[in-house]
Amino acid sequence: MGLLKEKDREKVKKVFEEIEKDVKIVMFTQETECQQCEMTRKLLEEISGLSDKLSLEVHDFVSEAGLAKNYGVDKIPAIVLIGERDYGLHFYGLPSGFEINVLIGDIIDVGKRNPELSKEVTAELAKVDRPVHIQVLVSPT
Amino acid sequence: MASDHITADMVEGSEFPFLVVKYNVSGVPHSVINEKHSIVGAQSDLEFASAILKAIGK
Repeated sequence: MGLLKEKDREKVKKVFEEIEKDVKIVMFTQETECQQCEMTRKLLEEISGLSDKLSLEVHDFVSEAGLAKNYGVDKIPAIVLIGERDYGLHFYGLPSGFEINVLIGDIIDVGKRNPELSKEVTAELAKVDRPVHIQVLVSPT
Repeated sequence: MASDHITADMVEGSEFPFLVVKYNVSGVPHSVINEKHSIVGAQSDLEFASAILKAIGK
């Protein structure tokens, strides 16, 4: 039994048709998986199977600590979305409920290589000239 | 994606309670910029961009 319902899988497959370029989904878990890590991995396996432009790599946070550090990952389960480069976009924890929509939306933005921000917002963000780390704390809905 | 300087994490608060405590989170979404500046509640993209600039002193 999948984590996504059949009708949701069909919906996601349809919106994934908007993806134009390859998206690499990188996940960090560990050998003895906590329940959230295992469920996150299974969810990503389902999601990445819904478009041939998506690939999934699963890495071990402990045995591949150097790689985790390169991706800026400091806790698990962690999902990193890679387009033509690493944008520093991370999801920590099992995405559930509405958060799955956020993940899918971000996969599509990366796949279109376009975050679809207004000119005004893009102009403001161009003024950023030093590291900015944003953390958005959410809870399951 | 819009800036090479910005990294962004979506964090499941229920799985990482130490962050909920660290940032004194009482409602979600709760956003934190550079571990210091908090924004509570949903914001427009522009409000968020302004908050980022404010956080870095611009």
